[in-house]
Amino acid sequence: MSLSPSTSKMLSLKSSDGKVLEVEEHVAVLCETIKSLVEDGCADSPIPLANVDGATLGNVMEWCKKHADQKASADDLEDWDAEFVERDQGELYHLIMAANYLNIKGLLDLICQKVADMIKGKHPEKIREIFNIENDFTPEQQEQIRKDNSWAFE
Amino acid sequence: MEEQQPKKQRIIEDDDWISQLPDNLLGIILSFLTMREAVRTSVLSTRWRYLWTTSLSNLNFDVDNMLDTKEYSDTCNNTMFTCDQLYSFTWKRMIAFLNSVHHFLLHLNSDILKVEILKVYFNFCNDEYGSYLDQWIKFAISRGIEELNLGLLEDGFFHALGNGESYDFPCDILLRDDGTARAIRSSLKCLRLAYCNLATSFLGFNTLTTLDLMGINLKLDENLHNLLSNCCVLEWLSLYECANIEHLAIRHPLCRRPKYLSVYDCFDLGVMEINGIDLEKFEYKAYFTINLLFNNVAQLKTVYSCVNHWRAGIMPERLPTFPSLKNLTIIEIAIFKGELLWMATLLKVRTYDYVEEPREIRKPPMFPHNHLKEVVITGTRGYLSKIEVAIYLLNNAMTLDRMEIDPRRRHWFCKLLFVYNTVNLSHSNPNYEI
Repeated sequence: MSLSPSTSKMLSLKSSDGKVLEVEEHVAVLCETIKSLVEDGCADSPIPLANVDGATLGNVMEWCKKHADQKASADDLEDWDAEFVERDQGELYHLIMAANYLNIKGLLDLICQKVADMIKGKHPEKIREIFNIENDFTPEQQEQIRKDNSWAFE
Repeated sequence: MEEQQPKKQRIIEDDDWISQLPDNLLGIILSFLTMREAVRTSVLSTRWRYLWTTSLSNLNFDVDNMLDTKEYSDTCNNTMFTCDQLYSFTWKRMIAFLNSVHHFLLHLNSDILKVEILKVYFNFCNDEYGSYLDQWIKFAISRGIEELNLGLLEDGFFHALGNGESYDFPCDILLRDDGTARAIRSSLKCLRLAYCNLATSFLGFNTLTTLDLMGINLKLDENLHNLLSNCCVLEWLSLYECANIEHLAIRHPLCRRPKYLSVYDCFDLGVMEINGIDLEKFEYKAYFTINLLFNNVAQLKTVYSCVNHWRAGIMPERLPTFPSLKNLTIIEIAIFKGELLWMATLLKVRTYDYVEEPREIRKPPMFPHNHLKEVVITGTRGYLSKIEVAIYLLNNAMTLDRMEIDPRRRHWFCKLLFVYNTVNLSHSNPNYEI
């Protein structure tokens, strides 16, 4: 079954905080979780999404809409994605969790790549500072880890 | 709701949100780092200490992942080295690399980890350190590996260390060690090898669907025959600059699945014999005449060909007929002579010999071709012979949908550039158009 924009019907998605979002079916089915509901004929209206809040759902659907657009070129999408991930950490967290729950591999990889880029090339102390990670090691433990994996710390 | 959002996010941001992500998601994040950087996250906090040991399922043993690239990558291009300095640098680099991989594997949680891909891209041009490589492969096979990718000569590197003997791929790793000459139950589907020897038993190769060989010395012609007889479910075969192959025969029922075949500059190759297999795509590049004996290849729809006519005698006497051919891409054919002759012979048409000189465009011969749908001709710069090829096709290809004539010369790298980090070409998708 092909879902082209012209024949696509609307789906209602209900977020964890009770917001209802109307989304075209061919956009929503980029979420594998929603796609299998649609294919199994279980897409009750509205589809309850217990793990995604309204604001995050709006962001996710914005991404899906752009990526469902068949006119968008690869370069265009790349630029658009680069802008899309320029968000504060709270939003990134919610987007990762939502992309995982809704099973959207492209979005999940995009955000994980963004987070990895925030880690890349930085000293552990700097990484802790960026993400507020509390160092709960004793100095001895820390020394031991560095010793065990000295090849990576040289 | 709108008003609550900023507050909620501020809480998250003051929080250590990243450490609250489930292991599988942190694993994805780690997989976007080099393995060296992923290992370094173990020092962040107790939450992170063992994360990398269970989450890296694609093992990439190359300089970027395993060595301090500042120290080892930049200097390897240092042309100011004397011979002794180069030797000592290469030796030091090798020891550091082996040490990194050893310690990496030592701390990997091998009880629960499933390894999907093992890639080694490092200068192993001699067999001296081969036993280490054997161990890594053995480990990966025991962890359910599906793809093994060994590129044992780095781009821009040369043999500076060791006895000059190439690494022998340990085919017996895929055999049971009870002496029964039977293969173990492996899940290996894809084997990509570059710059080593491959010349013993191929019994364990019966699970392979993809085989890419580059710069491989098969030593004897019959080894290729043995290899192909054992690869009974092979769908994708690529041979790139492989030595000691004179006669390549792929016949039913020996090996009937291959859908894609690529043969690129195998200098010893004289005869290619394809009979009764479901081949769909075929590409080849040759500097010397190869006799193509194709029979019963009714599925063949796409041919990429790169034939250099600069050398005399490149054209085989007889060429096969491709009854279902729909796409023909000819890359860098001769500039001065012979295109029309070659083209016409391929399509079973008679034409004349000629030399390029100022003259009228000749009327092309008529020979209706009823299946050809797409033609791409690159590197056309106004030579009459190329114009004639185009006119000939326009007149004769009755079902032609698309003809692309591109003045740019496109360099054909075949599918096997997986060993070159610097060139970013998709090698996994056999469908891309060159």
